[in-house]
Amino acid sequence: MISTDQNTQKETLFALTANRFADGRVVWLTAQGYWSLLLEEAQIFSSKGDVETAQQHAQKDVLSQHILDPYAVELNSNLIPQTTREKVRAFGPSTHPEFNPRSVQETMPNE
Amino acid sequence: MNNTLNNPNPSLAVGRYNYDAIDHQFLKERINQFRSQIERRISGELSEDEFKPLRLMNGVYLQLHSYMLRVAIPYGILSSTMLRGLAYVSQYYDRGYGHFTTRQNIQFHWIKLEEVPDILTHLASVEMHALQTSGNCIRNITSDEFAGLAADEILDPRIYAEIMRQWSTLHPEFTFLPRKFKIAISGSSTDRVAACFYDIGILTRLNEEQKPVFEVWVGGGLGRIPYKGKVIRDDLPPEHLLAYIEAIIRVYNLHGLRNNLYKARIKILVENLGIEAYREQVEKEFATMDLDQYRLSDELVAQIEGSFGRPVLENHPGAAEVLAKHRQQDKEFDRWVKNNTHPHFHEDYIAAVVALKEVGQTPGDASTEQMHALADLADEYAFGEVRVTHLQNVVLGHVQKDKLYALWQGLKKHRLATANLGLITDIVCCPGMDYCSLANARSIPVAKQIAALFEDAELQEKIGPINIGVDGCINSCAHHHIMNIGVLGVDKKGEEFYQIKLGGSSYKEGAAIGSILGAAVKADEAVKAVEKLIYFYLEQRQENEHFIDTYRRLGTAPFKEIVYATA
Amino acid sequence: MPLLKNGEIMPDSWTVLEGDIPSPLPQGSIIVPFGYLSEIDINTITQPLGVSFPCDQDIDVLKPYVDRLELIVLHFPAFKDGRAFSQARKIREQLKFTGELRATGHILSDQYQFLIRVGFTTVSLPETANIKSWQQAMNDFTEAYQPSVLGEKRLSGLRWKV
Repeated sequence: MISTDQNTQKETLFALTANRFADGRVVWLTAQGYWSLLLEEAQIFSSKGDVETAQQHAQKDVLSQHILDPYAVELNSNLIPQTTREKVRAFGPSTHPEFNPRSVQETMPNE
Repeated sequence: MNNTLNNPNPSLAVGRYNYDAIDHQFLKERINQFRSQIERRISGELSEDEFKPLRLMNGVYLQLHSYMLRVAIPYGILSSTMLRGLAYVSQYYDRGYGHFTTRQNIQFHWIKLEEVPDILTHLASVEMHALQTSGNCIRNITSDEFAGLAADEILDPRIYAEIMRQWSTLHPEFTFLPRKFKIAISGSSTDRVAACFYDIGILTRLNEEQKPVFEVWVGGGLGRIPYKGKVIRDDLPPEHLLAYIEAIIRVYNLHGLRNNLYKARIKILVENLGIEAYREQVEKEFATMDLDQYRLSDELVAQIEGSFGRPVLENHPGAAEVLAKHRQQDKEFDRWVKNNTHPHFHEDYIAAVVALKEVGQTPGDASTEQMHALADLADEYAFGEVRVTHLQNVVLGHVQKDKLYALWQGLKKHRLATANLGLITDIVCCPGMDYCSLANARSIPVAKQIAALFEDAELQEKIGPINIGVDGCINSCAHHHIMNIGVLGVDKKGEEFYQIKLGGSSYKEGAAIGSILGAAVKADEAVKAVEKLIYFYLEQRQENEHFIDTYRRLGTAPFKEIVYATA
Repeated sequence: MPLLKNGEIMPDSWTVLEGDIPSPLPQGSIIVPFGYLSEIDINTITQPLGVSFPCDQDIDVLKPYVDRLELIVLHFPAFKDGRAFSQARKIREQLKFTGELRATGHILSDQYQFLIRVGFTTVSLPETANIKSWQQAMNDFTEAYQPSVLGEKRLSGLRWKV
């Protein structure tokens, strides 16, 4: 089921995000169940209920000290976050384009 | 005061307290404690809610993209060795830069939690720490960037800032206050620290017997509800400094509001009780204290002072003439000297201010390479001493006048010679929503756009002295409330908007909180609004008025009309 | 609840009375709520007496009773709420209380040395507490930068031996 915003009639989609415990980096839940640095790899939820269920499931990753504070982010139909804050989280600080997670090559310990 | 004719111990770093074995041992124990706190967090013994205040007290925040480490620069003084230590951290644990804040701290924005103990160990080796740079405790104590060189100085505030730093370090009674607690101190009666906007602000004056006494301000602050502080005592003998501020903070710890984050600062308590009632409680507490235990005797102060290195200032006849000649020969240098230097009490020396405000750059950022360059230049020209200011610039305090030109050339090579101190492009700016999890809007891009409008050096000089602060949220790290022009980012349903405030002023003489000009607008409109305000001022100014004078003469209304008039 | 003193678990011989205080009072050492002291004639109580004192009251009101008390319990509603640190210090320094000062509520082991240095002697711990962390915390620091109520030895300058 696809939920719609009544005012704009635009489709609202969701992704589940968190910060990684070890380094605080922004991560997104993928369909395979791991957490990715890239929004493009995120599992897209089309209903609020589904993303909330996923958020509850993600508590296991909180308890295992893998992530902190998972929460749902609203995306537009182009799969871009609705708020500026979440855009900045997804694409890095606007003042340092070289720190966009797509341009920074690095590996994490234990991964 | 003349504290500089000879240096009792040339091996001591200049301008700051040098650690001994006890201080090193303490930091080592502190790092071990934090290491074990991280282990207890990983093992699950500590919940995130329990761990958070512990990591905050070690300066570790979780920001939007990563953990951030905020390192204290007590009273703003760095030795070249410390600065190289920071450069090392920026290079090997961060992404090649650090950000100087408005509270004489430096922040690293891309930190891994498990590396923090190693970073702290490295910092400890250069006598630095991240203690109490966050949390509801007594924070890093700030001081006057011209301490120890200003002609109007009565005592060196850094000695007392160091005494307060030590006393407040893991204070058993005051580590879980209702809210954070900030102290600033100046050793002269001229306010260069914004004393009346601190939880406690301290200025120094001479009493009738020509003895130094402290004028203690309490209950100032910015944030959601800005207040100018009030004088709680204007004749505090320096020997009772610790006892008196302990009494102030004890009353606050017991009675400050704890159920509302926004009403928990001491300013609200002072406002609610009234300054007379607050003073009465403090005096009552002070009267019960064992003053001997807290007394800062001459011997004790001398002992702390003896751990400070001092510059060996010698007479250099003709130095001033050499500087004059250099200024005549090089107009660009002349402009920098005019804008970016401050007089030194010794006539053959001068203080140079390095603006970290090149147009196009993030205010307050310094790259690894710039940190190394500053350290090298400080060694060569300024006794290895570097000062960071609460306006996100850097000062080299004791420069021989005839060597200033060579210093400037060295700075220029590293893009550190921007001649805009106190001018419109010398903008104070918080990290905003590009980094900070508290922010509602980005601040850096707005600051950069404003600066870009006024890049022309002659235009900047024509506009004259003015300060602008751009904040990404109401916490007001960039002091927008007390800037001539303050820009405040607000959130409206996920979109960034900016409010403009006019007429703020930071220092005791003429201190004022700015007034909101009108409805918040989008970023590009906010930048345009600032442009309109400036050109309107240029049209309206009389003789040599500064922006703030014209504003005070005309009031808010005409400025508002210029910005909000629908053409 | 385990009771910690000097880093060791001790038997707790005190009975905490809350709500409606029974009459006659139970035998042995008792801890009563502060409000109860004004309801009774304290001189009629012969057994060891302690009081549980709220964190939002001025400790000056304890003055009339302090000579008669052997124990004062102070509360931490949350570990971030540091009022009891100041209360403890005032009770030691201003009321000159020399009996047992007990901390209860939500407290972290990381606060143990702070507790001791402002005058607490015992800590009432939850059953789940990791005693090892508390024992370790007692020795976290061997020096401090401010005087405490313990009359520690001054090392030099503003440093005291803990």
